[in-house]
Amino acid sequence: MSTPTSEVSNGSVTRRFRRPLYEVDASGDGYQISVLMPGVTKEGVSIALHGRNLTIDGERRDRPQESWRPVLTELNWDDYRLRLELNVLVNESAISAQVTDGVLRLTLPKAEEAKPRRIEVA
Amino acid sequence: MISLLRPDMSRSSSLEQWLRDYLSSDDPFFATRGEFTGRRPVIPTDLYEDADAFHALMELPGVAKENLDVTLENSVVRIGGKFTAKPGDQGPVAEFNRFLAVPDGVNASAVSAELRDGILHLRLPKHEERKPRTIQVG
Repeated sequence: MSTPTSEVSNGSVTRRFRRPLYEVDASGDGYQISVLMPGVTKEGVSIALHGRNLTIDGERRDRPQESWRPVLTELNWDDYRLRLELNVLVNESAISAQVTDGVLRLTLPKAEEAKPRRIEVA
Repeated sequence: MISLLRPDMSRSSSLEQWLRDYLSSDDPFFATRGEFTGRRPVIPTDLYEDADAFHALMELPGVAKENLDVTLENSVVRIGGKFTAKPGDQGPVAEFNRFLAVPDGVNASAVSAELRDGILHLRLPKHEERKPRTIQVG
């Protein structure tokens, strides 16, 4: 349930990532992002925000055992990486995240100055 | 040999779009022993074998135990349930079913299933006499 993505090379180590399925819900107050990362627990998630660039990494905890002989393989066991560019300022200190059943739900409240505001007409 | 069709995910990473595609194809899916009908996106599955058992691993992100049914009848395991894009049944809800034929030599009464972090692990243990064993040469 993901699309293939980059190979990231760091000298001698190459890591492969799959881009997970995700959904973004926008409201006046902020964003809710749901990211599908089956096999990932909260310990395996890391979230980094640099300016407008949001990077979500999900490290899988388990993989099929070496002793198992594959009969049919449709799953990809690479770790997940999702990169998004936010087009609105967010209140970084109020970002919250939870992981349930392999789904990460991230709440990103907009920064005060980015929220829609009423302008009083005198 | 089971033959399957992968959904085309390359167009969009949107879960909602994936669910709409899933819901819009109306052929039922039934795969057992190499036979299938329809072109419906399916639950990606891996099947493995070791000395003691067969193992099926399926990705079911966001599916809670109360939304999942695993039943065994006439040597066919049915894994059924529903996906929701958003918690609490808002947004599209897709029901899924996947059928796996239980291979000969499996102890059907000892089949077990565990759902953890969106991955379902189905363990189908082999009957004792079907396990590989070393035969002592006298």
